[in-house]
Amino acid sequence: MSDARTILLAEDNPRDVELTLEALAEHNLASQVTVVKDGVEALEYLHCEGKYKDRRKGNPAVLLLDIKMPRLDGIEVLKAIRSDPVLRMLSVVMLTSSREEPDLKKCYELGVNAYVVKPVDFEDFIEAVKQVGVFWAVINEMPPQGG
Amino acid sequence: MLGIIRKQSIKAKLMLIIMLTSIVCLLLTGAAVVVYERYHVTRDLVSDMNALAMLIADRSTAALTFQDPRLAEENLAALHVKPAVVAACILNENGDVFARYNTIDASEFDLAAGGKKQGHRFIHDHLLHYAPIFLGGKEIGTVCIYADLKGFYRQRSYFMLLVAMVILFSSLIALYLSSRLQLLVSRPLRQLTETTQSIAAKKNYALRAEKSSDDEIGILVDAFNGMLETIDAQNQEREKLNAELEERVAKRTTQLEAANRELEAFSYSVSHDLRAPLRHASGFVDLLLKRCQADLSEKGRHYLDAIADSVRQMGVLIDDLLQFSRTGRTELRLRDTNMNEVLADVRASLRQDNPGREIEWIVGDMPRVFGDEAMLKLVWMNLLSNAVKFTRTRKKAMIEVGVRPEGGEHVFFVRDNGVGFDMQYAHKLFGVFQRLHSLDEFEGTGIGLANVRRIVLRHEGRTWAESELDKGTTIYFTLPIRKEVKP
Repeated sequence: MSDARTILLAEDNPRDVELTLEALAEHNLASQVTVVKDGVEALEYLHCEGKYKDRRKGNPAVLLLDIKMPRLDGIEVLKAIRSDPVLRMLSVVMLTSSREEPDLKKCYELGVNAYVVKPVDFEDFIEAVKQVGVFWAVINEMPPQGG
Repeated sequence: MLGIIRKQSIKAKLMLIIMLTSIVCLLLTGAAVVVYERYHVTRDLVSDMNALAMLIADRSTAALTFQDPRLAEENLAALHVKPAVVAACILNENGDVFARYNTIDASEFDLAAGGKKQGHRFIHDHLLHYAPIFLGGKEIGTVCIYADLKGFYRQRSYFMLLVAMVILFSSLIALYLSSRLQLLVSRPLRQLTETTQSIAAKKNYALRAEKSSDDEIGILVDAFNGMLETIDAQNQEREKLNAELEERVAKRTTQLEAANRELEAFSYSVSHDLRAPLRHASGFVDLLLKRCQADLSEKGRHYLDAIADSVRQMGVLIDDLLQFSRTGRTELRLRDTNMNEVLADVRASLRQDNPGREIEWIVGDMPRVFGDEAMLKLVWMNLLSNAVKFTRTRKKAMIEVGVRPEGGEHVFFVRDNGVGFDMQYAHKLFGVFQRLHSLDEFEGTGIGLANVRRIVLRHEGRTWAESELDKGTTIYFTLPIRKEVKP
């Protein structure tokens, strides 16, 4: 287990960000979280471009990816990641408001690692975020870092 | 015979009729001519011979009177001018031969001349004729003439041959004429028939039959063309209507597809965007209760509880609405489905959700149906969970699930001994978010039976309910019995 394992949260809604961070904070995972506000920023972060060009190299342990975001949406980001030789093994978890069947189908076809629907009930939400955070940032072994 | 004639063409029939009539007429005419010839010519022949015999008799009175056979024989010798007379003799009053004339063997003549010595008779190809010889009113002898009729008969044969030739020739002329004249009737008929066949084969109702006469066939052609006109006009009208209909259907389909896309986008948006604020409200209420407890009065906490409860309720409503929208939009995956298995799955999951409930189940044997398994599962889930819910106040719940065939349908039913409802509200039962009990008594959004009705309708079935307050409720739904499902 490495303290340096980071979680990248791609989420445009500040309230969702706040609640997600609150949930992760309950399990002391908040400090490892980087938040990006849309798909374009997420890819900039992963490619160490734009305002992230000076960040420490290396992929995050997991990308928590919202579907509905401005500019580039979550499914497009997932597609870009899976077709990128450096990023393609990155663990991606869709964290979204709904389980619309076309979305589910598309995400799994693109090779998503998990698909989690944010529960409306906050207790359930905290539980879900906790499990996702702990599993992907703590329990799961990351793929070998290439390049 | 008539059967064979019936199969012939009009042309053949007409020719047959003409030929039959002509030949019968010719034969009858020929027969009349022949009969006439036979009668008259034979009579002439006899009277000729008679005249000849009388002549000889008249001349021979002297020879007989004077007993001069030589004179008699001279007289008889005059017969040589008539070659048909091959023998003759004169008999005296005692019937003995007095004089003879022979060009053939005398014995043949004697043989023929035996018998009665008067009148005439035909013997083989010969005529034997007797004529008495009178003198002063007294019969003194008889003349006998024996004529060979071969020449006569030969002539008669020539005549018959001629008649036959005339009949044959006339028949040939009749055949030729009939084969030309029958065209007057058969040609327009054939043209009409060919046009009819061509129309039947090509389905081209723009064709018209050609009118070539003003008789009954002409009237038939006119009537036929009139009918074609009508059919053609109707076809054109129908094609126009079809084209319009297709255009309308295409337009409607486009509209429907657009509406469906909008609905889909709408439900997608509801699913994503409507839930987020709810989640936030729920989250922050929770955080407020947790983090700022010290600042809250008892009342304040109660208000927050109410907010949280409403938010949860709204979340459930949104989920239910989305589910309802999905049961209407999702494409049905119809296949052979075993209702026993579906029902068993639903009951197993209900048992898990309701531990400790004492329920007596009476479940009949279910048929195989043609339907969407997931959707049908939803139907049973809604019906059975309702039955379980509304029998909660009973010490011992009784739920009966059964089916019976009726008028080409499976009629399924779920009967419970629960609280029931007033039948005057039955029409509301299957509406969206319609509830017949208060939330205090029984939870739920009132979407379940709306889902049931929608799914059953999409399977071409019907739903209805019977109930009595405090006695229980029976919910019915039907599915068509399809032939493609193995029993």
